[in-house]
Amino acid sequence: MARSAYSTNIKTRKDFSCALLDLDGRILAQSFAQPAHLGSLVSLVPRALERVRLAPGDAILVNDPYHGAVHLNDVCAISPVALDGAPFGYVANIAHWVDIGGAAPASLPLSREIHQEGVIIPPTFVQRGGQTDHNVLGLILANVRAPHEVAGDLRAQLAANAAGEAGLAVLAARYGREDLAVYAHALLDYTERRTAAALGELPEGRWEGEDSLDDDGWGGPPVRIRVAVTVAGGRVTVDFAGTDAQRASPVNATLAFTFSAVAFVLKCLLPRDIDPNDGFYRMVDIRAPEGSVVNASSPAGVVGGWEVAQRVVGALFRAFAQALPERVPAGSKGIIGNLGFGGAGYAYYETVAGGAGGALGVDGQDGVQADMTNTENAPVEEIELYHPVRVTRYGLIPDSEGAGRWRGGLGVVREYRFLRPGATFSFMTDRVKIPPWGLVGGLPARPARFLHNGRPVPSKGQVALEQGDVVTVETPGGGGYGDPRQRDPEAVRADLRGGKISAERARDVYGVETP
Amino acid sequence: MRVGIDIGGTFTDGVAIDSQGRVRTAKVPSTPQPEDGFFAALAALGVEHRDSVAHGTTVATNALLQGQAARTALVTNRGFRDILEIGFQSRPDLYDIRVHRAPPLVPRELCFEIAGRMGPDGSEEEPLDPGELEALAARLAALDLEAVAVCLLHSYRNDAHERAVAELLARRLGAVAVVASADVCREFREYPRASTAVINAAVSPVVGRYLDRVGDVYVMQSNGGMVAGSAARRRPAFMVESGPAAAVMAAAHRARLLGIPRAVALDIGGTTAKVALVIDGEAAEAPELEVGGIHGAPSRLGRAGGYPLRTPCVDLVEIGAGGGSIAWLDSGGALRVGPRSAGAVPGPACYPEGGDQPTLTDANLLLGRLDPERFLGGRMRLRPDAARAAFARLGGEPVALAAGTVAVAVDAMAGALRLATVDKGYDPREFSLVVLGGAGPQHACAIAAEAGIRRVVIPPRPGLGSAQGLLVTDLKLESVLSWPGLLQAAPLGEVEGRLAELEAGLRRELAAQGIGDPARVEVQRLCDLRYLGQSFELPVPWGAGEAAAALAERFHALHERRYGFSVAEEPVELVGARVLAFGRVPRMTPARLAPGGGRPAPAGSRAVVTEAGSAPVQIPAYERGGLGAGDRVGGPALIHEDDATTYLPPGWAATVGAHGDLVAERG
Repeated sequence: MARSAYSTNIKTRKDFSCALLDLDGRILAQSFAQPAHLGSLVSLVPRALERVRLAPGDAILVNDPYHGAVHLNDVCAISPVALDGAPFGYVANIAHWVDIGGAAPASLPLSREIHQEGVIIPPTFVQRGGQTDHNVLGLILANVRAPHEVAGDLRAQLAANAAGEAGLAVLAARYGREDLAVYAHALLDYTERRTAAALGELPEGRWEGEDSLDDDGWGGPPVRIRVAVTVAGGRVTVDFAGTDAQRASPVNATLAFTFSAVAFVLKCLLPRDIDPNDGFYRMVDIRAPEGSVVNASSPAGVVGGWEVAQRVVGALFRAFAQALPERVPAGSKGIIGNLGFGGAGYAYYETVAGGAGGALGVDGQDGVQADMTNTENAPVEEIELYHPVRVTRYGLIPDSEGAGRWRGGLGVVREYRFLRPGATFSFMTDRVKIPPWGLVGGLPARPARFLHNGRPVPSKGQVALEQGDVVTVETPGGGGYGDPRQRDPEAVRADLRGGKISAERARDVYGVETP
Repeated sequence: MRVGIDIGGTFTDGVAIDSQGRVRTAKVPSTPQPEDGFFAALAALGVEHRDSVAHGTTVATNALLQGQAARTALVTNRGFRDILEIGFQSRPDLYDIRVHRAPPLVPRELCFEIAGRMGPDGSEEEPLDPGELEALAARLAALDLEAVAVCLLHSYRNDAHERAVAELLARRLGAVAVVASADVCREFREYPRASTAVINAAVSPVVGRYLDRVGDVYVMQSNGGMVAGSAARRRPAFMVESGPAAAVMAAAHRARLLGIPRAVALDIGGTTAKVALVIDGEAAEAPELEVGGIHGAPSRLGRAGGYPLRTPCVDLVEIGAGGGSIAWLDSGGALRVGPRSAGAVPGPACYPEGGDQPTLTDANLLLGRLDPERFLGGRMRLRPDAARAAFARLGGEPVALAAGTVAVAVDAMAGALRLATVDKGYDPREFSLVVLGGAGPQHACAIAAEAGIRRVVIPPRPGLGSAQGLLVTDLKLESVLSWPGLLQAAPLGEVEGRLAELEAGLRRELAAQGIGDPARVEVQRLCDLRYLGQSFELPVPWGAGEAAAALAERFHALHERRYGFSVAEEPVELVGARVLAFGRVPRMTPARLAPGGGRPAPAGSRAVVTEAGSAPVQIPAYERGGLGAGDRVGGPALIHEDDATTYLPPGWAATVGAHGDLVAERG
């Protein structure tokens, strides 16, 4: 996929996932660099198979969040695999398309419903008997802003499925088709044993957790996510009863996105080499009320679902913290922080790091990506080379950490000065009002601030820019862990020496007097 | 006489070759003070003078990995003090919150900001403040520093500010090493450039002191080229992968000698296996590596929280599987091998003072594929009972577990081989495997079979690969110019003019390093091209006077070959250009091996498990020293030499080449 795709997003940022599935749509193996996809292929394929029957040489596309996708930009291609003429299973992949249409170029519209976010593709044949259906393809490409790139990525998706099928044929030739199926299912049972063993090491019980978004972008009260986790008999059940109802806003998550967030947290707590195949998924039960922000119903908008997923991670960590305080970190910066700007002839998109939460024995890292995102920054020199903008500050924010015996990481400031009139800056983020939380006596971190020429602007929406305007992005720090007064005074002095905290903070919050 | 000395983690290896092609070898233990091992190896070789010593050393890497880097400060633009703290902003492990990035080599209190700004087109947007610079110099002078790195934005395009700051600080700070980023990396992307400058600054005092102690030597760089010690002192960041590069150069030399156009070099040691491609006799290069990441060893496999080092290097894939890798059972009942290694101490269970956990070496011993009396030339007697007991502790039949251990390790190494080939767009079935390292010849045929490779080359003295590579490596210097913009619109004449200046500089430098004869100098010019919007570029050869259209056409063809597609109508972007200058060193070809009788007699036989699950069968064992050119050995068989044992599985047969290489092929 990476070698033959067309967009930078696929080729170098590797924003895609691939999977092999059996005839029942159970995942045998999948790549898992992209955590948002963890809950998606597992939902998409079985639900698509309820609607369509695939014959050799066929391929379908689907991106409908109400059929198992996480948001419209993640488009899934599914092809059947036959070995020696007999059906064996499916190959599928998800690729993040750079554009899927909709109301805003950076694909970050402050929507009221999903139809404003782009083209919805229910399970739809793009290939039958090896022949591409140009009618369907033309319809899709006419509705996206970068048809050239999207067409290239789509070809790569179909080619990747063909490569997957060819690879399986090599294995079948070596081991025989039937033995291959036996081994594949033995792998699932092996993963189930490892998952059960790891879950069996956790204490049994039921714990509740909660976390909230500031707002839904259209005002109104915070959006609250509640979760109860039950670990029993080597299985885990996650119940979202009590979570707020969906909003007429972009801030909703589909069940698949919520599943991704749950799978992400479990992968953080379980041994990292447990593969996310059906042997893992079958040990996890999710209950999420339909029509809530964690299992939205059509036509709720979902483009802000990233931030909901981050709160699902937060609520789950807070629940697990009661069972495993030694393994769970305090709240991280807590935002994906989708930001974009553009003007005549250019467009740019990025996410900015912040603080990670402190945990037993370790400080949270300063200026780092957290939770469900781990994308790299764009070099300042590259931004300035290709866009009429100057980055005038990019650094840590002193005193922004959540204080604790093991402190949270520092947030980051990134400041842009625009050289030409007529640009727009888009925000689809959060954590301006409700700060990242501390744990076991640790304190919350400094929340985010977004400024236009020094004046605060909302965390969701667009700002029109004039020549010389300055936009300042200040991301949250990470929450602290444990009582800050118990922090090793030498660590406090080291932070002071490095200018990461002020002398007042050393004295007032950590109780360390300095000369 | 030419001499190669390579200092590894466990052993310091020496090889000397005289004008008749006679080879002498030495293997001595590495020492806490590496120069002690260096001189011990020279003594063991019986070499007096050192004027032709080529050296592979881990001194720069160890300084970085073991916290011995010099006390270094960094100077950056106002607003960018935290360039090292934030780095790429990603974390090394997606799921493990306890795994952190390596702490910056310069602590935040030694990072300083100054006024002044260049734009992306190289124009000055804000001047330097002379008063502020003097104040900074005074402040730095009071900080007891050993080194200072200066990295200012867009210095790849215009380094006037950076140079002015560095020159002022050098004047004011006396003995402190001052490094300007554009002098070590003239490429855009500020964090990797700053990191490269900081690494260069932080290791230069350490490397300088080391070279003072060992005297005048040529040093292997990460890119598989040699430089004089005087140049290595100025650019020590370029020698971080000195030893591993030398091993690949040894494999490249064998590939050239045998006329193999496509080779995979595989070096299996005690802890890791390293794979590199050698195409048309040249080792494949990567533009960047990472030092100090969570994998421990320097790596090109993406970000792992270490320090990016933007210097050209031999492109290696390294995995944690080697002779000392420990076999264990996980919670799902699966047999796993590595990444933990028993290392040299305590070593595999079968070693005289070995550990109690079973390793890959123990597995080979239990399967009969190692002779306990013949290990390291008989200097170490192995203990099969201890190996058997270690596997028994896993709970299972020891020989079956041993066979499984070998199969798992072979699969992991074949996986590394696929990463080095398939992942880069090459088909491994078109390659021959050239194997090095003490544990390489044990597994080479099985790995080749797993990856679909039909031919395996085992050079003489495979356990001395790096040291032998040092004897066959040319001097190699490189200058890079960053010039981003559309290829069609680029002032190529002006770029060529700048390249000509750089080339003249490299020729002068080669002369200063002892290669003054123009007939021994070879120069290549390349331009770095990519499709507009791509993040990574391809180096494309650039003939004198060639215009944009010709370059674009060559780029499309290379892109097609490398990535499987090209897009003729897409705009091509120039990122920069580079000059490579090679100073050819005289080759001393190893003496030809006397012909053998064709069907050599085995020196003995051993009971070996050749198929998992079957009883051991008696197979012939040969002494490599007793084989002559043209001799043919059919598998299954063992071939012993002092530093390695070759296992030829059933279905394989090996022929001895004119220079002593074993060339094994599958029937």
